[in-house]
Amino acid sequence: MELTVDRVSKLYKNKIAVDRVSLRLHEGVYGLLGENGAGKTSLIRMVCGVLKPSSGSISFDGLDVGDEEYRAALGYLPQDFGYYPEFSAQDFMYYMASLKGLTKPVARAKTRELLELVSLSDVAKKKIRTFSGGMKQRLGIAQTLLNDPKLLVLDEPTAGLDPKERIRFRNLIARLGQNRIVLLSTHIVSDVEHIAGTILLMKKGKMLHQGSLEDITQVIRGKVYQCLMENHEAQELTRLYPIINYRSQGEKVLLRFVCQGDPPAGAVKVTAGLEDLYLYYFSEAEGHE
Amino acid sequence: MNSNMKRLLKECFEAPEPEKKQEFIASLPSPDVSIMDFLLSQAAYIPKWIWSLSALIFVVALVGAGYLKKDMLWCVSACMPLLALAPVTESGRSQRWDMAELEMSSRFSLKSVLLARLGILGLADLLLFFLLLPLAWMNGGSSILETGVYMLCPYMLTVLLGLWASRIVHGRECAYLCGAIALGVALGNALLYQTIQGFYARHNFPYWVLAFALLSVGAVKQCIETIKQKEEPVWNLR
Ligand SMILES: Nc1ncnc2c1ncn2[C@@H]1O[C@H](COP(=O)(O)OP(=O)(O)OP(=O)(O)O)[C@@H](O)[C@H]1O
Ligand SMILES: [Mg+2]
Repeated sequence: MELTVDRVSKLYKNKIAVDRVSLRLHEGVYGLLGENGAGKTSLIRMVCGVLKPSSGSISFDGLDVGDEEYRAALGYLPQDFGYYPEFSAQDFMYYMASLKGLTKPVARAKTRELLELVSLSDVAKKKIRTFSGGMKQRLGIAQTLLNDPKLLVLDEPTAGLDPKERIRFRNLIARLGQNRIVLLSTHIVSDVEHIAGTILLMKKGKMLHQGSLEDITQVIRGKVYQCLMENHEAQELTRLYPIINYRSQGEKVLLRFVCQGDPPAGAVKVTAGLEDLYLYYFSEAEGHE
Repeated sequence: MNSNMKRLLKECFEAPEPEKKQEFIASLPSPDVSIMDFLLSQAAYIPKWIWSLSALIFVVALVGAGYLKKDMLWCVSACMPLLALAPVTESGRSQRWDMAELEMSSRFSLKSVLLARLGILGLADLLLFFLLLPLAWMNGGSSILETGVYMLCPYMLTVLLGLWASRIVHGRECAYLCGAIALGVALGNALLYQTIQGFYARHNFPYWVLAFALLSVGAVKQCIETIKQKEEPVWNLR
């Protein structure tokens, strides 16, 4: 099983949204991480055949994105989606099942099972119009699994989920990733930190890094420090180092920053996490690439 | 008593979790749907108002022509644009409700879904046309061929304008615009009939045929353009 993205670019009018991205994905969970406007949705749309790349090619096990078999193996949750106004949750699932080419009995069995999975069974017959944002999102997730996809692509799947559902979702994804390719985008670091085997870090249309959590945090490992200081001292430090976090604690300020050479007096070395890396790359201060 | 017992039993004994449920479900053969099944499944998702409207038009024509013995030609052909509204609005519905992205990425993509639904609606409209034709013809002075052409002209005009509009305007505005176009054509047709002497006169028939030919070519062209646009994935992005 392999998804190949080969030097794919997307140009909108005169703006480059995705810039020559190449990827090879195998079974497992991939977390696509990037700030707003990084080009995550554009990339994902191209992988799902909804948007035509300006250049480059995408294939899955030798099938081109345009093929019916490619789409048959795909489950896709768009960043935002609508529904026909008269639909109930069940109607929506049946409708998607009909588009995915499931027969009626299979559609019924799958719908029951999946609505159960996302804990929407008791509102299956309610109109989607009456759903909360998180409920609609869960319905969207359920829909992707109808055809038991080999390639599961989710654009910000955890948007609007409460902490309890978020955990459930994480466990579900971890399980699903065992025998299929799961690609999910997010800008919430903790969503992918623990479940994604591979992190794809995207910035301004370019793929900055790809690798396991250990691999990609390598860049700042042993260079993250924390220290509690007076306000004016802190001001000085923000000019010198890339700041990861800045938090007031009473009179003083708790600073978390990256430092390449010798740290200032009083600073303590801390373990670098994905969040540190993310903030390091996407902090206001540019040019630490 | 019985249901009470059941409930009690349920409370006392928890049913064991089904083992290997996933494996079992996966092992079930999932038969492929045929094209016919797909068409039928899509017919179910055509909005109810379309069927109701068609039935209403038929009943009006039936009562007018069969019971009141009126010349229904102008009335029936004024209703034709409303029938044309169905396939036209259907072509923009996915976008209006923001379902396009989901539909494009599923196995039977938006294009086939649309083709299926437009095919069904076209067929239904054709059937209705043949049902209305004798009703429009029976109390008037025109031949059946003439009647047919008089009826189809406003239909084709609405399809042409409506499809053209729905490729340029999207969403809610598009639905309103198409409705306005259909109403406009319907009213225009009725108004012209009232004001122009010999609107349906025999000596004018060649112009009608010419108009029908041109409108048909235009409508088919718009159909092709619309389907083509759904194939091209970039269209749905805001
Ligand atoms: N249809 C479009 N026309 C023009 N520019 C677009 C279009 N869609 C996206 N863009 C631009 O392309 C860039 C990438 O957008 P994209 O939606 O892929 O980002 P994203 O990473 O998904 O962001 P977010 O986290 O906000 O969802 C943005 O700068 C955006 O302005
Ligand atoms: Mg996005």
